[in-house]
Amino acid sequence: MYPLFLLTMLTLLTLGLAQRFGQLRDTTLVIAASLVSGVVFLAAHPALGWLAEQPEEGSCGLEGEDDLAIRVERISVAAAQALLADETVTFVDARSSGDYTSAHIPGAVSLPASDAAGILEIQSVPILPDGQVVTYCDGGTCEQSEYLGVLLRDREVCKQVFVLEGGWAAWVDASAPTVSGEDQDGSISIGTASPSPSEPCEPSESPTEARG
Amino acid sequence: MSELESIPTDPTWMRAAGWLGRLVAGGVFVYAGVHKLLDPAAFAQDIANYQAFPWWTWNLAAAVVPMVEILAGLAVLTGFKRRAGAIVLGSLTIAFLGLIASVIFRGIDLDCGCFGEVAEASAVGWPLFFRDLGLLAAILAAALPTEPRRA
Repeated sequence: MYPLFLLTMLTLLTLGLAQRFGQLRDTTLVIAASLVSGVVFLAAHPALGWLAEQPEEGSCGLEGEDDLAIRVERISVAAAQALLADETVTFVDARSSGDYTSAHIPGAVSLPASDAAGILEIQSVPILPDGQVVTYCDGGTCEQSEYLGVLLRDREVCKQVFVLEGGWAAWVDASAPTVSGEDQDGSISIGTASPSPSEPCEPSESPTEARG
Repeated sequence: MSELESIPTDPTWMRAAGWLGRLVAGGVFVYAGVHKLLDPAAFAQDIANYQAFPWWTWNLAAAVVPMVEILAGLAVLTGFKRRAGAIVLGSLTIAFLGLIASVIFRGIDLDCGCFGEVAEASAVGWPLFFRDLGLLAAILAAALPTEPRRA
């Protein structure tokens, strides 16, 4: 009902303005021409069908909002921090590999959502059967973490998939622990010297500057 | 005589503002519409990401919205059915503003898809909201009378 309500309000607004300024006929003409052109374009376009592919009825949908296509539950930074020590929880970094190397959440797996290779590697992410997944990205211009969450739906772990609210930027703002380096646990702790390979990497408490 | 025609006009600054508004509003919407039509499937996905519309409307909207932008933008640019084009663009921009505000308050993090996938994406947020407000001002200017009022 929400889209129908919006469409009705938009139509009423347009026609009301047109009526007020004596442009009802011309406005109707412009709208009708656009509608006809759009429908013809849709019919003629080889890659665009009349209807989009209907999203699967997955557990990613929130109750009462069945018409929403992509919806993965959010988790706050504080709640996610509490899961850091939980070995059944996998953090997935959806940012670019460069951003990941620069700094990431301790233990996070790099899976760049904008990278085809990253998407393919989703099958290799170690997720325990009863485990949970927290995805995150820049917090700026990214829907990648949510996109990854939807992909993870195919692995039937949807009920345990969360998107970090505010993404990486919120994590850094909260001064939550971060590490840097190409490895999950970081080869270099932020603000400290490089640990020797034999020593476990301790996550740093220092915040890093958010990217994006 | 319509309401706009009854507004007293200054033939210099008001006509200049009108032309500027026409160039900005018309140009931006034609550009945006063409870029969306270059990759309508990607724009349909952008619409889906807004989480505000049912799945069966995505493809139709991905075809119709750019057409509205192009035709109404051309009307404003060329002057043919100029005010009608401005009214349509104005309503569309108000709808965009509502959608942007809804995304901000729902805390959804996404790219706006304003210029399709060809141009660099902008995040949906307050800067985009204010940019669209500026666009609305340009549309209002584009709807100004081009001829001075008769004495």
